[in-house]
Amino acid sequence: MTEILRGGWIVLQAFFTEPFTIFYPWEKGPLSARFRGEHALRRYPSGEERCISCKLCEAICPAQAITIESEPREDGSRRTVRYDIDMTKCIFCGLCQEACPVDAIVEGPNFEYSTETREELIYNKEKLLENGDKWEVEISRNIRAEQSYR
Amino acid sequence: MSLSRYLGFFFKNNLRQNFQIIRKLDDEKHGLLVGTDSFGNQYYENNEERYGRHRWVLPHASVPKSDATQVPPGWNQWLHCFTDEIPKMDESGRVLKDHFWATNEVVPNKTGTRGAYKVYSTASPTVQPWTPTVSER
Repeated sequence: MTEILRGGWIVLQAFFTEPFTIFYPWEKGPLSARFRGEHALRRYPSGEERCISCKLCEAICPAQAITIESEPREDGSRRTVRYDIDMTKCIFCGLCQEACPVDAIVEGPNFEYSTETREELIYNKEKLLENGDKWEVEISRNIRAEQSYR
Repeated sequence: MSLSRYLGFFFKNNLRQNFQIIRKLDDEKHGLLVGTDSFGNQYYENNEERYGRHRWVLPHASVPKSDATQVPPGWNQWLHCFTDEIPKMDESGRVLKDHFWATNEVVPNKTGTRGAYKVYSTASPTVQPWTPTVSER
């Protein structure tokens, strides 16, 4: 018989206690420097793209989401002409950034890139470089925070 | 909702602020203004709040137009409690860039609009199209 009253008391208590709910997106939970979000291709401080087209990321990708084609550039250096990541295949395991010998492909801190169509999730090289230019402030800080564990 | 918390914050703000905060954040908040970015988004901090709720952004855009991607990189990391450092900004409120090739223009998510990203091939085609020509007899 007292169950109803005890249940009602819990409801009344909950009304006066502070909620745990985080009001995303205006409040956000803590995020690690190792967070694996949207991919980005980075550049050297000189502006030169880091990727040397070694295709290690393509080889290690367990979901086979990465496609690379390479050609020598006019100055003779080997670069990619196609660097596509199918974000609908990607499982965000982070093996590509671990395989990369020059820290070119990284998984940045961004996870707010939802799209209305699947086509928009097939990223090409230009999109990835653009992501890198945009998120470099945060990516470089994450890498600096993690450098003693690498 | 905790009634005492809500009312406590309610009486610390003025009516105009309360209207904005309740309309945009769906909750009552009160804190110290830490910074304002180029969009006009205002960043607040109140360490008496629960961890995770102690930093928030009051978007400048109206409720149907506001979007999480309007928060620039740098401020995003501050909101995520990665750092206590407030990003260095120029006088217009843009986060300073570390390299000349970096961009500090914040482009909100354009999906569903005409400016949405459309994938294209960055490589030159490997197959040349065949144009049939008939030789004269």
